[in-house]
Amino acid sequence: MIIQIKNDSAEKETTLRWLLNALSTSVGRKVVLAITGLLLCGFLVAHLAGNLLLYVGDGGKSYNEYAHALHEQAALLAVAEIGLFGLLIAHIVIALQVSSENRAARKVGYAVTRSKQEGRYAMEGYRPDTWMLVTGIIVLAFIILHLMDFKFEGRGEAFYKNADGSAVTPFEKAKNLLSTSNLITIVGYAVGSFALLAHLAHGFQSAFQTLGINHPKYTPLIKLVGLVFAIAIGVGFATFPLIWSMSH
Amino acid sequence: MSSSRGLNLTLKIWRQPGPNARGEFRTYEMKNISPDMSFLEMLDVLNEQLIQTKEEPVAFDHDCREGICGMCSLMINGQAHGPDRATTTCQLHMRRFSDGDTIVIEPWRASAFPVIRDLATDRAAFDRIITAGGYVSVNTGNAQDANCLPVGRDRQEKSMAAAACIGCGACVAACKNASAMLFVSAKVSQLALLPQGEPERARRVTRMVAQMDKEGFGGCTNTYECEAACPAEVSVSNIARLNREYLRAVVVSEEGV
Repeated sequence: MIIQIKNDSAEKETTLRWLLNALSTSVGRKVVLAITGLLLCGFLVAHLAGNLLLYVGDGGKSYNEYAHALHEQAALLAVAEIGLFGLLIAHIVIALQVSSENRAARKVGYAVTRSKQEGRYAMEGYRPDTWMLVTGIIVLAFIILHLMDFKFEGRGEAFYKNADGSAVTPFEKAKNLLSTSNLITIVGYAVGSFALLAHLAHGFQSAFQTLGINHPKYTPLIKLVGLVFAIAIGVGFATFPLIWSMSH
Repeated sequence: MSSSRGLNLTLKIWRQPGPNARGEFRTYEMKNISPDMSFLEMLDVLNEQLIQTKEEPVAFDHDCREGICGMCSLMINGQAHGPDRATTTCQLHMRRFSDGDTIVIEPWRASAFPVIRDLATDRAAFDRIITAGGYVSVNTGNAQDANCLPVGRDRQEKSMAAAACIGCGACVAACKNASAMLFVSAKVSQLALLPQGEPERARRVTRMVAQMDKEGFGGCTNTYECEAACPAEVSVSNIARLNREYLRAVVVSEEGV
């Protein structure tokens, strides 16, 4: 009698399959959304810190030095840019996937809906968690405009060249782009910054719940930190089109 | 002593003859409804009237009528189980409404809960999620001596609070994504917190999540409307526990995902 022993070839092909399977479930995808979101929050802190150098009253010296130092690290910058782009794309693709599935989960809607959450009724329709997809799309549009403005320099020669044809300094570039005559940038950046505020107001604390972090000691703190973070980042970025641009 | 004055109400009720039939709202005038009636008794009165006028009675789910079976449902003026917190529709009373009110009554709306007829929906998707892993399959034999298996009081309480879920589906109905995360998290938590649930912990959560996805429920976006709608007041901290259990199963467990 031959006893057949099941070989383990089935197990070999599962080297990383378990991970891919797990990340493709509704819970797994939300985890990826949370992790990419939090990592992108880290980038926002670094970016805002760099931008705040615009406020050093030295005619742009600190800001220019910072920009040069950053661009000298060509290899590191390339890695960082590819990494950030990857995070952003993953965040967007999964968010779109999740929202289309969420819509499919209720094909026929209600004639009437009313929240049962205390204090929410007055806020009905205005809470940031209702608008994550919309604020996310606005922030994406803002990022595209911002990259067009600063990275790809696609807004016309006048913004990026001196009269003699030489390139302007980074500080001059910011001044040219964020001038009151360039309304697209001023309005776009202001709206984008406030959309970012709304997006973070829900997203930051929500990411912790998705990662399983809900604790009577820490959750109230996480919610508070999330709100303060959202306001600091959103208002921080909004000051450049709304305040800094006016003072130059 | 019962209240002396009855309520006159206008009901707008979703009528749908069958699963694939087109539905519509129909309006019914109710006269002299006692404020002491439960909401379901009010619907019983309506159905008596409809039978007398030879119209098909309104189909709605109900069973124990004392708030423990999880059979009743109804979206009442846009709120699952009506305006009261921690209350099922059968425990909602007409004194909560005022004379002259219009009440809109809809079935649970979710692709995973198809309408059978009128206000009755098919919630068997919940049963299939439980079948996928919401149980303990070890043979426990006779009940042990009370103190053989020590369980801390806080764990007992948390497990019991999760086990309060009656599986009515209000969480799905109230969620903007028709997500079943609160239900699944309650069923995962009640067992994950106890030693009896330990041996199948990883398998349970991965299978139940897989079944939940297969049924076509939406994902959780942490809006917490489920918690407010839950008649058993199941906490969203269970959803975080489900996420934790899931991550633990994926990252640590040797059981295949």
